[in-house]
Amino acid sequence: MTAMADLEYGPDSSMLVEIVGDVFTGLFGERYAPPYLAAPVDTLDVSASVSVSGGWFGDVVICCSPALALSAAAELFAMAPEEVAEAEIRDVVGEFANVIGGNVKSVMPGPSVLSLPRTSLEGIAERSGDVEALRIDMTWQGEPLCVSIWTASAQTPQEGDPS
Amino acid sequence: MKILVVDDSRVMRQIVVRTLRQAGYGHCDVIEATDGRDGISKVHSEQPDLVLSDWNMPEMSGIDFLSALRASGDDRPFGFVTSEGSEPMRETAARAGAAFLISKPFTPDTFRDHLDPVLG
Repeated sequence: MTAMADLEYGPDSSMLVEIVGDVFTGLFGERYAPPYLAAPVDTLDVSASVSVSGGWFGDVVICCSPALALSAAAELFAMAPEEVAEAEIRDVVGEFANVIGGNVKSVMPGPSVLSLPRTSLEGIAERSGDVEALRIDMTWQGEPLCVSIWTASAQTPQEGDPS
Repeated sequence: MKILVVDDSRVMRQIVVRTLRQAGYGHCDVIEATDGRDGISKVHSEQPDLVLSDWNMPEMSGIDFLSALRASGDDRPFGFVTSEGSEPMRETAARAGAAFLISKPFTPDTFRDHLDPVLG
């Protein structure tokens, strides 16, 4: 777990761990233990991000190993791993970002708009923030994942419609 | 009984359908749509008894979908299943005519709590 900088609003690292755990339990049920904190790993080539804009500007980014993305997609689509295609992996990691991002947005100043997820299978998904404000490194089913919150160096609150 | 599930994520539609089954709605016919525009088309062609819709979707958002239905005089039960459940969103949903808003992640109990009063 690495707190890169202070977030003026929103979750601290323990709340973010709780959000990620709730999301994984909601998606996968009680059969799998939720992710837990672990040492950082640098082979997280699959990622998805969502942006929040309005009362707060920033991004929520999830990165994970290709093996985690593959096993998660196989489990959620009830498919054999060899049958899982790129579209299924993008759908699953995009939904990770969407649900975790939506929960983070709920505790940020609003009203704000949540973007659609962006995904990448070859590195970090596109984001608008340039400051990594909070980061948690975790493991799930023996595979690494990382969730981070990025903020813009110049925050400009403005009115927006809730998403 | 027919339920329309609207979400641009295929995996989330699958999870919603699975949760409906776990919540005791396995006897219902479930149909799916990929965004609000597709949802309007399926409402007209399938005449569902309940619409469960995501909020944040390409082409047409869930709130625009609901507003379009209500503007056309369609008052069938409509609930959101979305990744954020802040109070402003719940108020916006209720003002537009939504019966409830379920935030992700959810459980079968959450579905029962919100759907039972609507579907009787």
